[in-house]
Amino acid sequence: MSSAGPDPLLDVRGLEIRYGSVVAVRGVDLTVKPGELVAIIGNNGAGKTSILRGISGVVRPAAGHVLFKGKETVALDAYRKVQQGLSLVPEGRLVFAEQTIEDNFILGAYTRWRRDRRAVLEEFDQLLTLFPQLKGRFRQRAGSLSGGEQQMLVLARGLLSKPALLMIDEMSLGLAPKVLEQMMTQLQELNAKGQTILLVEQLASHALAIAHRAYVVEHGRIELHGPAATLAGSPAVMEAFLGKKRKSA
Amino acid sequence: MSARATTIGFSLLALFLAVVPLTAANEYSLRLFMIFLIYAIVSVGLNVLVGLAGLVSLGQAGLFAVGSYAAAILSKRYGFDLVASGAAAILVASAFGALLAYPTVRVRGVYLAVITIAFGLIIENVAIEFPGLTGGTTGISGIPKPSAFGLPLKGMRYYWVLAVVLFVATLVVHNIKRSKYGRAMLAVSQSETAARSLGLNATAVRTFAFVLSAATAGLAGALYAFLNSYISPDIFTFSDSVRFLLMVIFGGAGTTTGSLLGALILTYLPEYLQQFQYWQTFAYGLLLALVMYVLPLGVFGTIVAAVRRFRPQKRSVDVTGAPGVEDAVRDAKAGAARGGALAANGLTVKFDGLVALNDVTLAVRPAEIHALIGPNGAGKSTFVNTVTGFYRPNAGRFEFDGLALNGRPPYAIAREGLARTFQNTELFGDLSVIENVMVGYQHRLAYNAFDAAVRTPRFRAQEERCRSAAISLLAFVGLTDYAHEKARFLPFGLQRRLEIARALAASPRLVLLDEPAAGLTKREIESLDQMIRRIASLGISILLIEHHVDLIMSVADRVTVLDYGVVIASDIPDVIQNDPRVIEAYLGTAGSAAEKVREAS
Repeated sequence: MSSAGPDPLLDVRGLEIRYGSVVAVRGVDLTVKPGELVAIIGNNGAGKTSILRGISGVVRPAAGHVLFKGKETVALDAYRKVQQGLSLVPEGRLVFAEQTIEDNFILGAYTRWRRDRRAVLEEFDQLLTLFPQLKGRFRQRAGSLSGGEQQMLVLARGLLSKPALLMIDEMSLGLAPKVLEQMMTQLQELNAKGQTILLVEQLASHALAIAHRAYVVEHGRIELHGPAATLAGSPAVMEAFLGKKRKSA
Repeated sequence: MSARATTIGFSLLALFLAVVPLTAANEYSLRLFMIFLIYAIVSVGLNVLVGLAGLVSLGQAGLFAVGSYAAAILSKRYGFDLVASGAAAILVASAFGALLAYPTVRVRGVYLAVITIAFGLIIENVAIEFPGLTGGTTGISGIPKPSAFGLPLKGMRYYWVLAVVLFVATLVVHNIKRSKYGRAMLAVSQSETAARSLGLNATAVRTFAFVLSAATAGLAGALYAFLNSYISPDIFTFSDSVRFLLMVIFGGAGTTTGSLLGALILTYLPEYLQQFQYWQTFAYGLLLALVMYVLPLGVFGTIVAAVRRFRPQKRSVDVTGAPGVEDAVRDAKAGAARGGALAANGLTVKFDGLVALNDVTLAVRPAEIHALIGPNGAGKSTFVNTVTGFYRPNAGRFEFDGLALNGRPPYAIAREGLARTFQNTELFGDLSVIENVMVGYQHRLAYNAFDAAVRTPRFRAQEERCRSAAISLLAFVGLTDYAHEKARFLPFGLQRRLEIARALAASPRLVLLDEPAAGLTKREIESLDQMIRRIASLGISILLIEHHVDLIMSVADRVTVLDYGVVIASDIPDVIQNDPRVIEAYLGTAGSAAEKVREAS
């Protein structure tokens, strides 16, 4: 962490997460400064998703601090954190399947819908340009969308809560290569416009390509962290997560 | 529960049943205990329905009544003895149970609860309105004293009858619970979709659960009729149904000990609360609410959870002695491995005017790795759901090794040797990792309910084979360290591997892998690559749906590309990679193929 720059938007210290007797995450320190795009990478079971759950309040950490905008939020319920601008797009396409895509959008903007309806409706249009697959199917049941389309919907829903910090778990899940590339570019653009983002991603090469900084998680601990470009060039990271370069035919 | 804990548990139960009559102070307290024994039979049976199959019955008193009336009428009018009328009560109640199971084809949850309430009310009403048969509101009195084969069974002798019946019923139900039947019920209640895709007939499984709970309720009803020598409709009301359900939930749904404990507490509690007179019902309700709040898993369920917390169980499983993967996926008698050929011809699937699949023709050759790719929403999962029987095609046909499968239910298709994984993972979350794989093995287990109930050598041998095959498959996908963990605690990526192991346990000739690499790191994808090749080398055909282009190009023998429900290309990977239509529709500039194209131009 460099000493320069503004105070962190998110400051996690000594985070520990347990499921019953199993310690999933221990001693995790992590910061995200305003305007940053930070990635967390690591293998399955390393504890990436648990870290996001702990920060977002879906799981109550066993120990540690989660400072958001300088205030302790570790004991707050997830919905209170969303109201304060800490929003999580969970993995696994959790759409409200029986409701329409429009309803899913409105629920995404739930905290702003009453005050800010006109602005929200404008954002709907912007998001539909972003995700043209959802256009024209606005009144359709979300459950009738294909897997990849549901992933788009979940992302759109996360963006609609206008969070100060947007946390995304496994965005690439089930996206076609072309769409994945578009989405990554869009995230980068969104970040360029000032959106702070914390990204958990299995596809380390994609995440490192757009992130400023990244944390490498292994066995519930932060093993490495630093500028994304440095990590992408690190042989240790390459070996562990990016896979050995296959001989090209 | 381990085998040792089971032995200890049943020894304690036997001891308890033998000692209590010695401590009974008077006729009344013995009689109260005998009432408990009868309620416990109902509770243990109802636990199968509620705790295992996850179905709520609020009409159990109706089944209890059916058994009671059947025994009362047969013994009084036709001179049936205890054994004959008990057997008749079981048969009649089972028939009603099967009838009651039928609505589960269409309704679940609260709607099913309403139907079971209605059933209870109907039985109660029939008992009142058919005085010729049931004695109407005055009921049936003068039921003969119990006897079997000429031997009178009054007083203490009847106590021993009840104690033995309860012991045997509990043992049988517990054994069923620890067999493929119990696993099937849990599986169906947790993910019906996955259960059907593994060859489980969900309707049959639920019917069996209903029949088992009805048979025990009917038997208990008959025993009650003989104990009381008088029955009337007001003994079988809705509130009795509620009490039976409470026994199961209060004790700890899903645990055999819990259902006994629940019956014990809820039989005695009202007696002790009688001293509160007017406040009796109030105190009863308050106590129930309080206990359920403090012990949300029921009395015994919460104890078990607490013990597990302080003494965590071993998560891993020992692989020594497990067979090789070849043997795990193939039954010895099934002969040489043989990949299945899937041929879909002109499949068209429409949803409300939207054409999801349009005249799709696709053939997977034996032992081939065939990739199916395409943009999001192109119809790939629709294709998988159609050939596995979950969707009915509007036109076209598909066959597997020459056998037409159109119109067959998913479980029947699965039994032909078509296994699948799910894009969003459909695991049996509350079953352990190894149990998930054992459910996959389910339709290869040939033992019957009798084998399971008395644990015959045949049962033991097959269960042992099933378990070691599961261990070997867990080793194959690298999950032996998590064997005893609940499946829902696995990270997403490992859940996908578990689905592969579970699908292989079904001994398939073709597996459909729906996005197995989603959520995996590059390194994990490389090991998946090896795994897929290994599966193919076992002689199993593979249809692979994926978005990771590198993986597809590396493992696939042939690739079919879908776009807007239409096949736009089908060829070997090299050709597909350079097909301009595929690049335009799917790969975009991100694909390594496109880079090659750029370099070339």
